[in-house]
Order: sequence, then C-alpha cells, then structure tokens
Amino acid sequence: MPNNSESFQSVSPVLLSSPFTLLENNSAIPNSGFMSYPFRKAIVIEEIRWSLQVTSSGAQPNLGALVYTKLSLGRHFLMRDKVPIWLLGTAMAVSQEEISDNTLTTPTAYSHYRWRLPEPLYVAAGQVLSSTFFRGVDGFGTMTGEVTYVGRTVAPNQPVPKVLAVPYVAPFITNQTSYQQSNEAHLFNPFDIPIRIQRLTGRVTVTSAWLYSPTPVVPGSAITILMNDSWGGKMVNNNTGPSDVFDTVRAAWTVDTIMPPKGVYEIKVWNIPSIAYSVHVAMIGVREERL
Amino acid sequence: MSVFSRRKFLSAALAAAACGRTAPEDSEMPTRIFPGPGPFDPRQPQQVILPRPVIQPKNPIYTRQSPASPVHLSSSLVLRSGSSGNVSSAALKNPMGQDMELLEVKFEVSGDLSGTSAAYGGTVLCSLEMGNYKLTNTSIPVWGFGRAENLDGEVKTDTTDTKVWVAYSWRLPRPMFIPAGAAVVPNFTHAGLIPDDLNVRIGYSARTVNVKPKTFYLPWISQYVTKAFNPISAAGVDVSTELDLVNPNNEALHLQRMTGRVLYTLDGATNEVLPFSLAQSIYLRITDSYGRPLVRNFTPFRSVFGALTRSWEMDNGAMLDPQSYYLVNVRKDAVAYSSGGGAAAQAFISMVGWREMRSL
Repeated sequence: MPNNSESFQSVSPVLLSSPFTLLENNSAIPNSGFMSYPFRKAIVIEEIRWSLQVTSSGAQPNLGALVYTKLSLGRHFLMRDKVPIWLLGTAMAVSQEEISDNTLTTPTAYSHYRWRLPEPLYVAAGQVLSSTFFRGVDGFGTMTGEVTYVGRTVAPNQPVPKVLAVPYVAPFITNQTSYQQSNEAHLFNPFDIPIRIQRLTGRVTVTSAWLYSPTPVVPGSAITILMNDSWGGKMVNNNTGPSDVFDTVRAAWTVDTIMPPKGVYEIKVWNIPSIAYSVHVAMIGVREERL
Repeated sequence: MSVFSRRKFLSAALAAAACGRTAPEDSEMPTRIFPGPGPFDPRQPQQVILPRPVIQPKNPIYTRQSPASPVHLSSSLVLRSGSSGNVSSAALKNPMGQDMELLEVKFEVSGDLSGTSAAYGGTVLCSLEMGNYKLTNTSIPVWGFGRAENLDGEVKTDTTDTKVWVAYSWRLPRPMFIPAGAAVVPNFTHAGLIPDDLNVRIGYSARTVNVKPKTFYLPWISQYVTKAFNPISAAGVDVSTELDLVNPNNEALHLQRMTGRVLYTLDGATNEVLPFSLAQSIYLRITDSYGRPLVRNFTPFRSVFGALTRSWEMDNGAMLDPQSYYLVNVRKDAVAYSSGGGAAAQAFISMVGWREMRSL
C-alpha cells in the first residue's frame, strides 16, 4: 500500500438523511441528530434533496409547490422567508416531480427535488444545518418526506475558514388577482454585503385543478411579467410571459451577477386570472459571512 | 473558501454600490468564479465563460493541423440474448494515427418496439480495457457509467419503424490519454433479462492532441448488483462484498460519482422507472473499509441516488484509498401492491472515479 494513503482517508463522501411527517396547515422539523455528522468532524454540504409523498388517487400534484422550507446554520439564515421547495433548484427532470403510482393498494404520488448549492456550505464540527418545513391547507392529507444533505468530510488538516459562503434565497409569491408587485420584503438583499446572484427561478401554480405546473404555460392565461433592478434599470422590459423569462426546460433564469447591499429586484405580475393562479419566483445567491 | 476569492473584489463591489458607478479599470482585478470580459460592474450581468486559448504547438509536424481537433469514433454489434460480443476495435482507433484524449463515451441500444426498452440499460453490460489496463472491475450495465443528464430523454420511441432507442452518455471525469495506435476496447454482454436481440453502438468523443501529458488519468468503474428481491410482498436484505465497490489498484481512487438504478420485472414487464414505490421500499446504508458511514441511517434508494439524476455526485475531492472498498447494506421492505405481482427487483450501484498514473 502506498505510504501516503493516510491522507486519502480524510476526505470521504457523506450523506445525511431524515424522514419527516407534515400535516396540513402545520410545520415539521426533521430529526437534527440524523442531520449531523456523527464523528464530530467538519463537513461540507454541496447538495440538498427532498422527496415528498402523499396518498393520492388520480391527481399528479407537484408537491414542491405545497411544501415550504426554511434553512439556517446557527444564526446564519439561508432564506429570508420560507420558500417553496420547487423553487430552489432547476427543473432537471419534471417527470420525477410528478409521479403517480396507482399500482399500490394505496395509490401514492411522489415528488423529488434537488438543489445544488451555489457554493459548498461549510458546517463546523458539531453544527447542524437545520430544516423546517411548512405547509398550508391543500386537501392532500398527511404528507411524508425525506430531506437529504449530500457532501463530504473536510480534511482534518484544513483550517476553519474565516469567511463562510452562505447561500441565500428570497422568494416572491403572488396571492392576489389581476396584478401584484414585489417590494423590499421579497427579492431583496438585506445584508450590508453584496450577494452573488446565481439564478432566478420561476413557476406558476393553478391550484383549482390540482395542477402545479412546472412551467408557466397555462392555456388561456395571459400572465405577463416586468422586472426592474434597484436603479430602475430594466431587467424584463416588455410584458413577457413567465415561460419566456423562466425557460420551460429548467424553470430558471441563470444570471450570475452581483446584487449590491440593500439591492432589490422589483417584479410586476400582470393579468393574474384568478386567486387560483399563483406566480412563484425566487432569487438564489450566495453571500460571505465573517466568522 | 471564498465566494469572491479576494477582499479587493468585495470592496470594489461595495464602492460601486455606494457611488452608483462602475468600478474603475484595474489591471489587477482578481479572477472571478465565472470570469467575464471587462472590468467588474455590479449592474451588468456577467458574460459567459470564454473558451480557453489554443496553444500553438512548437513541434513543426503539427503546424498544419489543428492542435486539438475533435474526433468521434463509433462501432456497433448485434447482441443475442444471453451472449457476449466485441465491436471492431479498429474502428475505435484514431484513424489519423495520432494521440488523442477521450472525453466522453456514448452508448446507444435499440430494439423492437415490443421489447421492454426501459430495461435496456441494465441488460447490456460493458467492460472496458486499454491494453493491460482494465478500466472496469467487471461488466458494468451501460446505464451505470454516467448520471442521468436528461432522464426524460433516455428512451425514444419511433412508431414509424417500430424501433426504440435508449441512450446513455458518460463524460469522463478527466480526459483519458490514448496513445496513437491504442484503443479502449469494449466487450459487451447481453445479460438475458429480456429475450430480444439488441443493437448496441458505442461512441467515443475525443480530441487529437500533440503533447503527451505528464499525468495520465485512467477511469475506474466498479459495480454492485443486489440479489433479486421479491419486489412486492416479501422483505429481504443483502450486502455487498469486498470485491464489489472496490478500488483494487495501488493508486487512490478519485471519486466522480456513484450511480444507482433499480430494475423491476413486474407483471411480465421489465422496467426501470415505475412502479416508483418499489424504489422507495429499498433502503441503503453505506460504510467504508474502516467502518465509517457514508450513509449512516438506512435511507431510501432515491434519496441516496437522487431521482432526477440517478446519481450521487462526488467529484469534490473525495477519495477511496488504494485496495479498499465500500460496503452497501440493502434492506427491502414489503409493499402493498394492488396487482398480481411479479418476479424480481434488483438494485444496480456503480462507483465511478479515476486514478492518476505517472506513466503508461
């Protein structure tokens, strides 16, 4: 065996997972003991996955529209507000978000999501990235799920970083008819440091038909979007359909830019047909936090 | 770990935000994570990554040729159920007699529409070797090399000529140098899970090179296939051995990914995608040679190998020691199924990585 093999033992893949049960109009916290690395070593989280399932006969709901999550690492919050799970990553394979298995004695619907973090998140020894899940009233009864952190251990000779790269997500969700616009409570940088914006994600739900569309193309819908930045600069100049802004393949708009401190993106949504339609938009980025 | 790599970059952003103007031209502006042309401007979206400059070779033999010309090689064969076969290795050599770097391997399997196409990836197995160097531990199902980059596009049906095509691709973790005259030789096996004859085609996407690298990267793939579980009513357990997900080489294995798929034969049909509940009835726990857990608790299969990509990406510095291995404990729970039942369910787990060699 090569004499340098000792160094190879130090970096190992890690996968931490915990199930949770989420009732309607309720919240749930997974077992944090399951979500911490058992050997009191620092790890790096690179990807988060969610699997959701409900008993459903016939409907193929996209459950990520119904379940919201909020993540925090100690006092460092990854989200300004709770965010629908389906907004965190891109829509890599929509078929896996809307699975309905009627071959079981109890027909079951499944939804799977994956968020590759914009930067790996350093989790110090003994620390836990905590998840909280929220859900409103949707008529699907008890929901079960699994949250999974995927990453690797940190080599023991690697010093604790002085600056932490912390992802940051800010959502905007319409809940009115006809017209709604965001403000400083939504796609906003509340910090005194800039945020590197990785992408914007966007989807549209139609709750009345239990269709949680991965893409905003809704027959007969004339929803359009305008977007400005903090200076009034046009991001989306003409009234544009959500499916053009957030492409139908990935339901995302990769921007890779910098939002300065206290910067904001303002989004105006027009022609929302009814309260059953809801436009979901999120801003995904990363910031530096000094430890 | 730094988002912006240098403090100066951060202060430039702050200064720009404070005065509402762009940062001044600075020849020492640090490289961004996603570099773009021109000075940093917080109001401007950054540009796409520029292609790497092509370095003109000093060797005059190559001055009239592109220093990195793309080349694609492919070869095919027809596999009968339960048989093995080789494609023409001559077709997989660089026809110009030059060194090349292998970048991507593509598999295409086609059969009659009547077949169970979604099972093709688990039915056709492939082993790879280049001369004395084995690249695979055993014959690997062709769906086990790469991640599912486009799961919904893997199976294509053409009703006009009643054919089904299934395609998988594997982008190598590092370019693999192939000397002039050499070839990566595949050997295919039809595992006999379905009775149909299958057309198999392998393609190599590569580029010619004119400078021998100082370090050679050789891929390594090993495989663990569980026993055949009763997919429905019965519970069961299985565990891999030290010979399955193993790095038998004398070099450390840099991990690219592990992939995981489940193959079902249920109610007479063989499939990979549905019924989905059965994939969630399989739980995994994974440890390394030292007993340390990679997956501590028994975790649903689709949580370990994400449903969207069928993979667990590890190309982040994770390594497997020389002559060491991973052990997978598998637990299959019983599920309540409404139909008549079926024959078998098997989980396929591959470990994909590369090793560094100073010479070939």
